[in-house]
Amino acid sequence: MDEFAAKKKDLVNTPVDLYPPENPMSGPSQMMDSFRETLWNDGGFNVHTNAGTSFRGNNNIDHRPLEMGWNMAQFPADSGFIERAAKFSFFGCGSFSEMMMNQQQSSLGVSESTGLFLQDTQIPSGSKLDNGSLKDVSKLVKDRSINVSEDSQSCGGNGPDDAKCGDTSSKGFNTKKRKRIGKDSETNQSHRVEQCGEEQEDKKQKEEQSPNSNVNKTNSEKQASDSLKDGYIHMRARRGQATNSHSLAERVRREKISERMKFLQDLVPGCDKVTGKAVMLDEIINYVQSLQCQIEFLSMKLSAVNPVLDFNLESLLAKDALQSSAPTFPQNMSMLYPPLSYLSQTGFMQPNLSSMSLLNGGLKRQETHGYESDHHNVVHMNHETGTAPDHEDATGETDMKVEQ
Amino acid sequence: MASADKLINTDVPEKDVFALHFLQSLSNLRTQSPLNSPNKSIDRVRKIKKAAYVSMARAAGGTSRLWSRALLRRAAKDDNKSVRFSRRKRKVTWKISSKRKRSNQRAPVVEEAAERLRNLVPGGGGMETSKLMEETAHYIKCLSMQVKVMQCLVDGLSQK
Repeated sequence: MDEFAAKKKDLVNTPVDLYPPENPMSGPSQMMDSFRETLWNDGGFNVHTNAGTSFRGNNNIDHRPLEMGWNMAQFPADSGFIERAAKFSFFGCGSFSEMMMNQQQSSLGVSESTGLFLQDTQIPSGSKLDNGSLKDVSKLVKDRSINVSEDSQSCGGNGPDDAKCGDTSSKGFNTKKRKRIGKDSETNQSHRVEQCGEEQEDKKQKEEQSPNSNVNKTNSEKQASDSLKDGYIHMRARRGQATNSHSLAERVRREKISERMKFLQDLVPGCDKVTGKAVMLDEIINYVQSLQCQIEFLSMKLSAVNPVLDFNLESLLAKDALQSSAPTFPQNMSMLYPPLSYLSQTGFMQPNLSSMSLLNGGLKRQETHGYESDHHNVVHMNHETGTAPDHEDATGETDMKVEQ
Repeated sequence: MASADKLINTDVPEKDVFALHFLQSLSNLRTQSPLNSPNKSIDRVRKIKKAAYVSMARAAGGTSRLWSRALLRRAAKDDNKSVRFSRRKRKVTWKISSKRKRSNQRAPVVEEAAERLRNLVPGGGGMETSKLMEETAHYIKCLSMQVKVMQCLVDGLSQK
């Protein structure tokens, strides 16, 4: 919460710069203005309502859910709003995003008189905007620098612009966490997505989070996007499906899970024929258990084979290397040479060389030279590693390679 | 396959890395055992098994993976040693499933299987289901790699 509070503070401050100067407004705008003031006081950088309508607006800050607890029900249903909403008829448009983008574009040039903020639309069940096919909701992401949409009147004048990513973030006050989703349901979203991706790169402050069931999305419009690492979700509610916030979040989550299950399906042998989550999950669990059992069994075998636990390192390596992939083995030679040369000191030199020559075939001479010169530090290293299980010193290279 | 997927990264190192780590941990066992002189085979087996897991965790990426981190921590706790954690570049977010309020919303089938998985995969207790699956995938890969290494070893030794 502290983090959020801190962010809130920042957010409250930043919009002040971006926010357009107040202008005298018409009726509905006045109401909005008063709302806005209260909102600013609350730190609600996101919200501006227009009671019946839904303008989305997030002023670049997208992170955490604002616990504004905004409810459309709070606002008096003004008939004027509803008219305006109907006028916009963005629900009837191809997508809300177009609308927003239009507004965005023009708002850049136009002084923002009303400072209309867009927010997540919430369509309470009763007061649904009767635009027939309100099925499609697409969520837009707003650019940080772009503040606000413009006045309602000028809205209609903008031509649709589909090419650019919708900049208005549709996070409303009760914004939720952005989720990452890998599906892209529409082709025209692909370039939007890329652009969204870049725009989001710099403004992304939120960490990637998985959706919470308490995500209180209002009727938000989302876009499907893929390969956005920072965790914003854009999701499109499909036709005929519930646009409830919870179900949207659930759907995203379910898709995430099924995507990973597909991935797991490739891993686990014999899972391609299996259909259905339950059976496949059982298979996966069985596989993991069997692997663990195998390890246990093999460790028993190892202890049986070598009762005294005196593992002869270089011979083990030799034998192991014989089975392992030959081309990759030489890479390890430089790393293996230190322990080998230590052993060579204790008299394993002869068998060492012979076993090495077995494997190496084409191993160059210089490598043998190399390890001979490393005797002193090798011995030192081995003494160090003898005591502690943490022998990262000896394998400095490997560890650096492995542990990044 | 794994590298092609941008979202989920489940690359595991080559077999040699695993082999190397395992052998080193085994040689460590050799230096340790004279002190304890374990006569019982069970102790030996347990030690070897533990060495196998620890080396696997190290080879798989040390502390950069949730499961390997949990494994190493568990092992270190047994030995009363502390684990050095490298700096985590990525923020790890996980969700404690017990805190979720609406448990009935999640598909119960999936969740129940996820519970079983959590018991199997180290460090799974604090993970959300989707994250758990990622970790499971990586874990499976590493496990199979380790099994291969051990198999090679056993074969090599028994041939002698």
